[in-house]
Amino acid sequence: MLSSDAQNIYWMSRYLERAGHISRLLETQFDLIHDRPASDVELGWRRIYRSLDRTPSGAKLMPIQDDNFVMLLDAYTLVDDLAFEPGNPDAIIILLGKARENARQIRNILNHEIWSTLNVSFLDMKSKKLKDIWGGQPQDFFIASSVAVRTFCGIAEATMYRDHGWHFFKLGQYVERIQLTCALLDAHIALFPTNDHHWEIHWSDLLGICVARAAFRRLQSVECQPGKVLDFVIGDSRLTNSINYGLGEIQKRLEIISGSSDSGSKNTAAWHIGKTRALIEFDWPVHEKGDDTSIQNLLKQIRTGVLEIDNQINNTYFNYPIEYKSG
Amino acid sequence: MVKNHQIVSPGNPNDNENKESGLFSNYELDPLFYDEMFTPNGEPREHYRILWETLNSIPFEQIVQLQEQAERSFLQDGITFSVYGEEGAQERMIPIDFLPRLINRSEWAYLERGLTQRLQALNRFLTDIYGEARILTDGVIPPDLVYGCPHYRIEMAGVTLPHDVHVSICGSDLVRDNKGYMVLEDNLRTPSGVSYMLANRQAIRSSLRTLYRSYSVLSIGNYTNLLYQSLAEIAPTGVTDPCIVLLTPGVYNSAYYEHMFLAREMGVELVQGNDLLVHNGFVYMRTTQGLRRVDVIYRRLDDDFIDPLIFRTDSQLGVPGLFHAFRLGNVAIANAPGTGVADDKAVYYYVPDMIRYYLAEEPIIPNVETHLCREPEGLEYTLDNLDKLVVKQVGESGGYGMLVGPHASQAERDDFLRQIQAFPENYISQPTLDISRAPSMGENGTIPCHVDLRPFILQGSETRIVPGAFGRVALRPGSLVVNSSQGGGGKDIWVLEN
Repeated sequence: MLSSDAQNIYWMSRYLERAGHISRLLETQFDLIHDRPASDVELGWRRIYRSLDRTPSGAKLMPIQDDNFVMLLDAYTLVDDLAFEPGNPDAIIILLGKARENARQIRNILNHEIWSTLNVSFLDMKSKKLKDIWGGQPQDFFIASSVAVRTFCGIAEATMYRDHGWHFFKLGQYVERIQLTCALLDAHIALFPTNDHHWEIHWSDLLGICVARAAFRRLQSVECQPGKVLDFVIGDSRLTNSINYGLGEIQKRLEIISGSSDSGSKNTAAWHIGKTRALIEFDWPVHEKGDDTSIQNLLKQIRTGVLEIDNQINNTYFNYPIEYKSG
Repeated sequence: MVKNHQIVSPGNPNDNENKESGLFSNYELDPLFYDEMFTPNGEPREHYRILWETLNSIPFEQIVQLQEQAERSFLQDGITFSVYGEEGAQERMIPIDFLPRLINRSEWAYLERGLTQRLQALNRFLTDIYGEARILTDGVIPPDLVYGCPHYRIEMAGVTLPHDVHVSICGSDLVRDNKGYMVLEDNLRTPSGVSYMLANRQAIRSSLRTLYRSYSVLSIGNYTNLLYQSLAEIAPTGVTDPCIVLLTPGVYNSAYYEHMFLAREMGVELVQGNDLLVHNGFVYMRTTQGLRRVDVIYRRLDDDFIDPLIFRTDSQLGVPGLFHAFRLGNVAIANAPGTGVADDKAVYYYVPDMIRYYLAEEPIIPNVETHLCREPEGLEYTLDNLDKLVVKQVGESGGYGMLVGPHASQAERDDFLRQIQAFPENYISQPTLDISRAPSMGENGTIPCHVDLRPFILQGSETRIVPGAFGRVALRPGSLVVNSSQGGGGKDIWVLEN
């Protein structure tokens, strides 16, 4: 497959995964806004902004440190920043637009169902403005964008031909998912330490964002103990949103793709995925209960490992150097 | 001079009592213009009768819904084009006119013969001028007209091509007046519009299922198969299963939808310049499995941009070394570089002479009467009749660089007059044509709009034409400009079996 097509599929998938993740963050945040005290709402905003490593453009002018801008900015401004702000490269509407641009470049290899689903969703979302939806049920917008991404992925799952394009689609999805999940867990642990059991409801929210609550309750417990939640979201091998599952998927896709690749550097990516998986296999769970620093370090190492895998995918399949030989 | 004419309005076959209530009740005929649907006395032409009766039996509101359904399908499918220089209009939907234009089989057979003849002569001309140049030494065409043409590529001199095919894909614009069809221009570089021909058909066929079934409309569905076949036939010698790619300038090109569409339908890779590289005189594309050799490039970017080592050095869109690989015969490029000289507006004047010279035949479809300002008598005639003529710059296309004398202001005419006097060789003039009209959907019923059609002629080891064309319609009332970039829309063309 053409390298640039593979790259477009990979990034389309990454942007969609990110749009879906931010939609779920905001969906959960609206639950907090409706049902929880102001202090919880504030913590929710901090979790979102820390995990995305972002400061809203308006807050950059404020004489404040860290993420205290959430105390000063109203929900309207923050939601607008995360969903519609043209200057935010990770605003939902911008992400959907980027995914559509990637898709536009490879429409010749996407089937009609996939393209039209994304195109229609984007055109629908693009026509909306926060001021128009704020007075009604603004969370519906985020539910809709989340559903749009899931629908797209479902149609892709059901209809995409299982060639390399499909595997690059899945690679992009899981590389992005693991990065986002690690960042979210890192931010969450910083705000809600694992040895403090006052925050159980927030750990339940975390499961919701990771689309893991129902499975957790069914398989683990109705009580959301931090250790068990982390174990589930990091180490479970059957939860599609867990880090362990994602790493396994990346390994599987890379094996399939590299199996028919002549590139000499293909083993580098495989080496990095093996190394990253070993972090969970051997270092998880951390031995000291409540040792949040170690957990955060582990998450950081996983993120670094996945970032390296991303680099290797790029260097091996998209932008590899050409060796010119004479004759 | 304003011609006097009588306005005739056709009636509703189901409503003899009240002729004002039909879809066509406010449609005005003008004997000045050939009407594709109605005879001068207001009767529907024989092959249009079913369409007329069917549409008159459908409530107007339902017809509006069908038109909207066709437009919606375009939007959902992302069938768009871009207009250069328009901010905020990167993607615009090409307007679609819901009413098809019908052409009967015998008329189409005539067009097919004429277009085949024309493309064969044009390919012979290109082989000749980049070879022995007999047509120039024999004095049929002035050599300076060819060698001075900005689209003449000296780099092509001496290049021989499989089957002598320089133009693999040609889009010729045809118009009709009361005397018959004429070729308005030939597009021999990167003609576009064929995807809209196919998309229009799909949309209109879905909207007018019953009507479509009532007619035996010849299928155009195999166009991309024929295109693939024609491209495969010009592959380098010895290549039996060629790797064909479509080279696009990218998503911001006005015809990107078409590039994507054709690549998808042919099952070939859609590549940009940075997907390709040249090594040891061969062209390769970068794939996830390493480099793969490319044999045929259907390029959709202009000569200037295909190879920065030979043509425009600042081109970011092309492939360095591509022309070298082409000259070596290791890759085919369709259309070949340098074909633009044959669709130059001044060279157009000589196409009937080319047909006589190379094929020893009389042209089947005539040219539009044309005056070359480079010739003293042509210049004098043009300057004396500027208010009656359409003046075109020879190097422009797409409806740009044009003066429509009767519709221009005195200041615009004066400005053009000065330009023509300064550079007469840059201009040609043609009479304002009484281009035929066909009914198009207006807000309150049908309105007569000027139409043309662009059939696509393919050349590989043989000439192939699908029975259809990209029909264009000037949707602005009274306008003669059908270009989609200037307010024109698409119109499905139904070539009828019987």
